Amino acid sequence: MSLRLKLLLVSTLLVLASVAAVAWVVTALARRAFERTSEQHTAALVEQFQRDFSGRGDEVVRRVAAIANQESILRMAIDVSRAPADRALYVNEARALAAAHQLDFLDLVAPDGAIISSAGWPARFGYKEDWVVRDANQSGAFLARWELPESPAIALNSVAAVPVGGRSFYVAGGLALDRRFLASLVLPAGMRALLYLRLAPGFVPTDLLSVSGFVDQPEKLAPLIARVEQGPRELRAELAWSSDPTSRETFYALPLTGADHNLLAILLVGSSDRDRVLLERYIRLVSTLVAAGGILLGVLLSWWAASWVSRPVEKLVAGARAVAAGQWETRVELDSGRGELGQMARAFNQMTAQLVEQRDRLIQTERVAAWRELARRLAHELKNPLFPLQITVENLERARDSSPEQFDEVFRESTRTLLAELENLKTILSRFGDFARMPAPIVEPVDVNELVRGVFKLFEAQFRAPGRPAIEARLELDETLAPIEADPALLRRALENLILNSMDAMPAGGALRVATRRKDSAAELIVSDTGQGLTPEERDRLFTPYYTSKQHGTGLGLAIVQSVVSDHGGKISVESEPGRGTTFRIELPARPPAGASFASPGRASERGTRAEGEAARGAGPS
Amino acid sequence: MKPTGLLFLALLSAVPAARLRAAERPRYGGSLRIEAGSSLATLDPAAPLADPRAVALRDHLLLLMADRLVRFNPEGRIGPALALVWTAGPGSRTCVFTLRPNVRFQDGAPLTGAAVADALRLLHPGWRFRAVAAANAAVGESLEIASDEPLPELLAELAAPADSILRRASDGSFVGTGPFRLAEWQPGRLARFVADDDAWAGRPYLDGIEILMGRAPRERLLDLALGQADVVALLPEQVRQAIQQGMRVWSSKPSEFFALEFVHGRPAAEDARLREALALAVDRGALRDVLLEKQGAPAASLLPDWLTGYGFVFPVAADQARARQLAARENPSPPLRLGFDSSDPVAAAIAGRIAVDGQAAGLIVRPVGTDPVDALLVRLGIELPEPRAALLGLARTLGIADQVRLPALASPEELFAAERTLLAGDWVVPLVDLPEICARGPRVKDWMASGVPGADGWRLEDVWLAQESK
Repeated sequence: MSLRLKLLLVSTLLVLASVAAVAWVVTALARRAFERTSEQHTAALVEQFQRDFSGRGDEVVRRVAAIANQESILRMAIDVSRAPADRALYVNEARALAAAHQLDFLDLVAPDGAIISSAGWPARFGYKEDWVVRDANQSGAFLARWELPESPAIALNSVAAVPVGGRSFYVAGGLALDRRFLASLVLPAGMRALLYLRLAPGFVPTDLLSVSGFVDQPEKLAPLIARVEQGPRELRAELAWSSDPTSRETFYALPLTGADHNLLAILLVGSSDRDRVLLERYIRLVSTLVAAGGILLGVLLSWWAASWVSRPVEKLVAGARAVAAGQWETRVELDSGRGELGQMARAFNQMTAQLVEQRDRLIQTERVAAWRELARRLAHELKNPLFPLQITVENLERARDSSPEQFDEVFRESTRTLLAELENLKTILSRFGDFARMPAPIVEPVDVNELVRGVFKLFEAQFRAPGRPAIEARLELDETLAPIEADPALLRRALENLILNSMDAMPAGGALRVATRRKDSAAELIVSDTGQGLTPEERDRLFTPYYTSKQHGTGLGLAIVQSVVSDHGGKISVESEPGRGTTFRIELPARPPAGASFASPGRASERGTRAEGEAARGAGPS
Repeated sequence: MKPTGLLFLALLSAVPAARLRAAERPRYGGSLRIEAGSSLATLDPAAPLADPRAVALRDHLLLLMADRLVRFNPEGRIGPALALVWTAGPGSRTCVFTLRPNVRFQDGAPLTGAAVADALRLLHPGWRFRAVAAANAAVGESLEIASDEPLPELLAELAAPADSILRRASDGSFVGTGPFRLAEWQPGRLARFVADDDAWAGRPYLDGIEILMGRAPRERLLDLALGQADVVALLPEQVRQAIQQGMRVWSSKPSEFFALEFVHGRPAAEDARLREALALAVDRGALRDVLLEKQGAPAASLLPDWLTGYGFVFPVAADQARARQLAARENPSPPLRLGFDSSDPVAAAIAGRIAVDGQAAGLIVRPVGTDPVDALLVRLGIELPEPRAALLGLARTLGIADQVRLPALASPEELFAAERTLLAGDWVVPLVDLPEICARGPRVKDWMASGVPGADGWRLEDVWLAQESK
């Protein structure tokens, strides 16, 4: 992944994360604000309810007291207290009184608790209303349950006692907790109040009232009501009426208990989450748009910034690649001359300049060294034949001066010696000339195994030559090896040089292994011996031309091998440790790489037989 | 004091006494205004009516404008009316009635055997009629009524107000031979009668009678208090108020009664223990004393005690303990839907009380105004002052006539046994007898109605209106 893309991704992610964080914070703040507002509204509503409740209670107390204080009630109480009393005379009194005093329920109760007249259920006359007598001492209004023909009701009640002759006649009245009661509550927008009348065990959906009547899906409130019923306490719960989040509503449940603290009803104050959800949606929408715009802008800015940052880096990378490819003269020119990247470019240019300078210096040095080595080698090679020549000429001079009679014989002998040494000098010069004239490979399909067998056969006699320790040579050829495109003459010459080199490395005999192996599409040629091995220093300089560790080597054998392998686009490596032998590995591609210079196959005949003088002489490792 | 002074004083004191006597003397004239709670769609006696209050109102109106062949007197005995003499044939299969001579319908048509036969044929299609012309003008025509089956209740049936002899006039209206002629008829709302000067029994004192139907109880009482009505029907719960306002209240003998009638085939009603429990749970005394404000009487028999004399034998006291025991065996007790006429405030009050009593016994009784119901609170009327005919009529109304067999002249013991048979199993539970109650204003004089249902009705032919003081 490019630096520019990375920078782009990072900046985009930063923009996204920033916008998301802002949106989340704004949403959370809005939610909190709504919740706080809702809680305040709920608290206000609960407070209002309690205030209304208290006010209604006071009103009930006042109305019931007004009835109890009426002269007619006193007369009725006196009349009923007499024996025998005709209570039937008053059976319809409560209805008129309740209507006159705007009470939903009114019972006139005799001292024995029997109903004399009931506005809510006139037919109940004569039956006992126990709670009236029991709760007559309540100072204020209280909740109680009224039995009615259709179903019971919950009302806010008051009981007033009318004392008559040591006994009490009771007036019990109440205002129903019903839809009218809910309608009287002033609710802020988005809020509503429900009332659950606990008239029967278990959840009864029809006992859940709203201002408009019954509640849709009342069962959804059943769990909250059940929790309140388990332990009468104020609870809060959220519920969704549908899959639409705007249908969510937060309910605050307020238990309403009677005088004996039994739960009679539950006020449910609902606060719609619709506005909050819509605001959150709006915030999300705006955040998305802002994020989209931010991302677009960020991408553009990031692209520009990434380009601004990465362009010099890319130039530096291109320069580095060019240097790696050998173009040491490469220079990086940046528009921004200052800053770290400018310094880096200048350092890069300085580095390449130094590399070029050092390379030139090294080339010069190596060239001088090579010439020196060549001179040394030439001097060494030429010194050997020159010394016999000098001795022979001096012998001739001494023979002519001291023994003229033997001069002829000496002369003939010396002439032969001189010719031999001159021939030797010629050979030496020829070898140097051959190395200088290494031909370009002439490729053709070559069966490497066949080539190895041919070379191995040439050397078989030498492995067991009399007068020298035997060498155990063996072939390990991979018969699956496919033919490769190569110059067979050069390959043969390289293999001969390696075998000769190995034989030279085993003056006391040893084992020689020549092997081929398939390596992907390439062919691997392995020549391994058990000779004396190489020191690390020798191994490093092994392929240097004119370097040799042998007394009579030219230092050209392995250099020729490396040259052949290189001309074929292959690789040569050596593994060796002193005393453990040496292994050469040559890897040749199935087809030489493009760009390599090859001679046409027709020139093969011009090459003639190339004998490696050094190989013929069995020189040591070169 | 001088004799002249004493004479003056005597004359002076005699003036008010003379005026008082003049004020109490019957006078002709005036129109009596009556307001009834019931409504009547038709006066046709052949039209079936379910509401006994409507039946009673129709009977009253028929008795104003028509006569029967025979009639019950207040003592419950049959006496002559349009028929002066009647002779029963063998096996009670025939009876020959000799009609009162010189009687004309209010449209001038003479009362003939054929006219009577035409009137009765619609009511009794199974009877055969044969008119026999009178030998002379002094003797009326005769009418023979015959049937293939014995007709032991023939006279009682003919004495029923529904068997009033009516004739359809050319304009389609009904005309009879009674003291008043129907002058205006607005179904369900108004009936206006005028006195028939040529009535065979003599012209009534009143010039006319105006009867408003379907008036609300409160309006009726208010109209009476304001002098806009002379006679109004009262609910039991209005009696005390009317008395407190100085009105004169008249009650008939119990002419109808409320009863629980369980519906066969309904699961709750088929439970005998539940029926018995509810019958025991109802406090009839409370119904009578409180809801009916002591009007009527607790009843456990179909026929009222005034009619049979054995009504007290049937126990009317509630037994809540026993009811609770029975209800406890039905655990849980199935809810019982009690139907009642929601337009009848008395029925609504009684149904409510039954629910309370049932609840106290552990029963679930739900008063409802609509079907389906397990039991009905029914209001049944006593149409005739003759026990056998009344019991058979009730049995027919209740659809249990096949359960009763009574001889033509049934003894009280036989009546009692028959009634016990009808009440066995508590399928029908009588609750409370109810009289017809009226209040009348101060100018209504000589209100002499006997209050015996099916006998003489309101007897408005004897009523006159006092002169209103200016």
